[in-house]
Amino acid sequence: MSVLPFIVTHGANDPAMATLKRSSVLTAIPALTTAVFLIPVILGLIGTWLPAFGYFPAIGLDQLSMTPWEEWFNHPSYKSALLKTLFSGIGASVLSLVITFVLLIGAYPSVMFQRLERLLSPILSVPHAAFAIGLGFLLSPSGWLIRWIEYMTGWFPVPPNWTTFQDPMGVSLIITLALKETPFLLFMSLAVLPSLNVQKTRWLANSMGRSTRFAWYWLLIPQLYQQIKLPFFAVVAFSLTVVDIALIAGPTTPPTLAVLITQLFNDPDLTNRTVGAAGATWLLILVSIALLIIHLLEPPLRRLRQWAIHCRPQTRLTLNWEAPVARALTLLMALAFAGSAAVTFIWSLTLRWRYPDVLPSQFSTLPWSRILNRIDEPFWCTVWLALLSALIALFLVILALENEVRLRWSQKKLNTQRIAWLIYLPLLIPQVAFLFGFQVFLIQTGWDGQFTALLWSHLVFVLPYVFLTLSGPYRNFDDRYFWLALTLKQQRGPAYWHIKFPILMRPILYAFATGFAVSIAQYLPTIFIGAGKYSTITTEAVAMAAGSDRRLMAVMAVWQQSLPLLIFALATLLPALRFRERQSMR
Amino acid sequence: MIKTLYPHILALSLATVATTSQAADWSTIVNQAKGQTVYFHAWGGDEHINDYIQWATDRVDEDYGVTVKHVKNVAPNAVNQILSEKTAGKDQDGAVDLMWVNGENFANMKANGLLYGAFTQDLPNYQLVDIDNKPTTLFDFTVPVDNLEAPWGMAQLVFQHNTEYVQQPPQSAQELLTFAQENPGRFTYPAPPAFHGTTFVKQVLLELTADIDILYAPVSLANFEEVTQPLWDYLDELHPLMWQKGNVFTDGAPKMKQLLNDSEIYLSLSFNPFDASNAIANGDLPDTVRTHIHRSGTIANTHFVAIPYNSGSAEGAMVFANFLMSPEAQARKANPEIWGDPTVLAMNKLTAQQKALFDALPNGAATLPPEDLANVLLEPHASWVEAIEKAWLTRYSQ
Repeated sequence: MSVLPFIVTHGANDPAMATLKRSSVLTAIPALTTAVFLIPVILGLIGTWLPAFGYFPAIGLDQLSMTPWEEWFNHPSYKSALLKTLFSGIGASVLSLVITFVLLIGAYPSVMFQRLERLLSPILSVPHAAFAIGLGFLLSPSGWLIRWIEYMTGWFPVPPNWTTFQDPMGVSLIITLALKETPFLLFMSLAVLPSLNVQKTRWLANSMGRSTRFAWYWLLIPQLYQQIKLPFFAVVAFSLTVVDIALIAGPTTPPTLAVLITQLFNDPDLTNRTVGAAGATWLLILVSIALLIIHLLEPPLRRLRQWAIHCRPQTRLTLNWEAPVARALTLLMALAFAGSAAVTFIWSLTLRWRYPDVLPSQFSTLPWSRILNRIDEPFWCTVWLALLSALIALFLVILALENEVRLRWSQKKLNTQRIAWLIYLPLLIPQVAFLFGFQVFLIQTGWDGQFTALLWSHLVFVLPYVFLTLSGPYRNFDDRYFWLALTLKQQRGPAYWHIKFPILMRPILYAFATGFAVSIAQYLPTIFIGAGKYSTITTEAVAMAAGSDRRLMAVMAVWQQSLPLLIFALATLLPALRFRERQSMR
Repeated sequence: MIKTLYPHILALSLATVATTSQAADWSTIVNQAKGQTVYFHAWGGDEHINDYIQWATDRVDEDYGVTVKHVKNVAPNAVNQILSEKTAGKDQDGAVDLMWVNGENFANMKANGLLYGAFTQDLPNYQLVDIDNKPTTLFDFTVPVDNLEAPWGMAQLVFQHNTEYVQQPPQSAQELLTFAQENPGRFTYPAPPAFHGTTFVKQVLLELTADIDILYAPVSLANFEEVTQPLWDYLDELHPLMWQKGNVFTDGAPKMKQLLNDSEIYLSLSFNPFDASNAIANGDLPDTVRTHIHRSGTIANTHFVAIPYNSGSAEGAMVFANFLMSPEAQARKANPEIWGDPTVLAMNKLTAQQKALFDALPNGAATLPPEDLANVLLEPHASWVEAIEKAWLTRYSQ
């Protein structure tokens, strides 16, 4: 570290500058990356907006009208579904943000936190739907929890007629979403925390007579929030528009808006697709309004912060509630994930398992062997899609981030955040709505049902997450290491490969693993864009989930979980192996 | 006399002509089908059905050189695919060649010109279908089939009860209410517009309506409020006595089967009379589950396979549809140890050898004898479905 301050300036005669000029290929990258998302999204949106305004020639509607909108707002379930969506979506987002902060305040940095950190990657790799199904096995009135209580107390000879899952208000949906989103926000925070100098800030606050809590509340969290704002917005958008988790853990009569829209798109009455299109457009507006309101809350909060720092009297509240709460939350989270995984795994090895048995009365490997017959084709299709889309996304994201660095060096003003917003578009729009328009475009160009088109559709969703995971650590990379390397190596390529890449290897591999996991989880793009010609583990798992056989469902869920888990394990192990003799890189 | 006889003679002679030309057509179709790949979009939630479809695809590959790929896709997604293709102007060689369909999906596809055209009259095995005694093979939810889809299997609403908890299963909607009063929380039905839920509501409506003829005419001819009032009164009373106090509904019969296995509910429903026997054999349900129906009879219908208007392998699809209607395939499908889906064929149209295939089938302990199942109700006119679903959502889903 101490050598670095010597190389803080650079001039036009710098050898590095000369190599920079040759790298004009980089300038094309943001355009290319943007095109990868924007083309499907824009075409998809047009394909949604036209039917939303009553234009849908395929079913004989060739005149613009407001009828779909009227029907949408007059849908019997609309008002209640809207309230449930806002309650569960905003509730889950805020809850996961609050839990993230409490965990950080209560446990960062500590030994327990290091343990929690190690738990994160397996937790992140669990596909949302598989986790929700497992949680259902755990929490339903005949679930594992009640079975254990019955086993120990004998209180429930038959399952109680309670609502413990899929409650009408969406509380179980909030809990499921928060459990899945908190690790993501925590993971994103961990990437930026080193740059915030947590220890120093705390010491500084303490030396000025302020508490550690004060340091977190008014100094650290505001900075941290700025850094994880985009991931948080992605969480908000996701929670408001998610379909699969809402189907499994959400309310039913009525369901959330996203589920209602999906139902309209699947309705046998084809004119209801225009109503669904209007609903999807409305949901997009709703998400935008929600994000705008959250954004507008910042200035008043900033003023509050000013007041707290300068005027707020010192309080001597020494009760340290965050640490025990953080410990309890960590335990709860670990139990939920471990329990859901365990019960899923047991179901996959079951022949018969009835209430109130805590374990199956008959075990069998039959569910596994039945699936094994047919897993070959979906398995390889899944692997290729995930590998290729994660690799391409990683390549594009690294080049785009390198281009940022280049622009920073040439001192051009570039608001990278603004480009980042575009990247989020695919995450803000309910998939079912914009995939239809994209599909129409692909069919028109004769590109539908091709593997490359399918790969592209996966990329649309993989890219934002790879960008999300990698941009933080990448932007926090200390350029001075690279300048030092350049003076030693003289060439940009070797300097990058020998210095910058190894230092960033861990986040790069994590970004790859995240992209891999995101690709695995895609269901609707595979069905829509693949024209039914490609089956993946997830399409097989969803097909199974429509049936009644929990054992086969569980086998598919285990398959679905094991691939990303393997990749995440590799992403953790590889840097550890590569740098086993280097203490500070581990 | 001559005047009245004449059309019959004409019809008869036309029929003869049609039969001879058809025989020639069929060999052409079989020839054209060779080497084609048929994408068959069919629900894939049941591994027994998937296994059966796999068997059928292997067989048509051996016998006819037609490759069939089972796409585990629900009908709405397949319809979305066809709609996208129609929007994009891809009127040939679409992605869907054959799909499993019936009821509203069929009616809407027919109304929007998304179907290939009449084809079943050209399939030799269609002649064996029991169109006389199984009127639902000609009228799908009262909509004329017009040879646009090939009958594949029969369905009938049946109830399943767990004899551990239920000794005397309810024989009518009224008795079901009494059951719910005595066993609060132990019955539920899927929320409409889920198919099984809508069927249950229609069943109750049929049972509670004094003059059911009105339900077989378009809904616009009836005083909807008045006719359906007894239904809503009934459901208002039933819902608080249901599973989760009627605040939560399942999304279909498969979910209800899990609840029945878990003893969360004691009484469930299914659209397949052999379902309980099959599920017991498979370990999905305890062997104490039995099937029953209501005294008034229960709603029955037929499920079909249809070819979309833009299929590029229509001949291959026809060959496969024909195979699915063959006595061999139908008998295998009716075996509760394999699938247990009742046949669409007429036993009196089969040869002794073919009939023997069916006679040899096990019935399954939990299945009702055929004479009990003969008690069927026809679906109300298709226009009632949408009206009932909308009214249901207005009352119970807001």
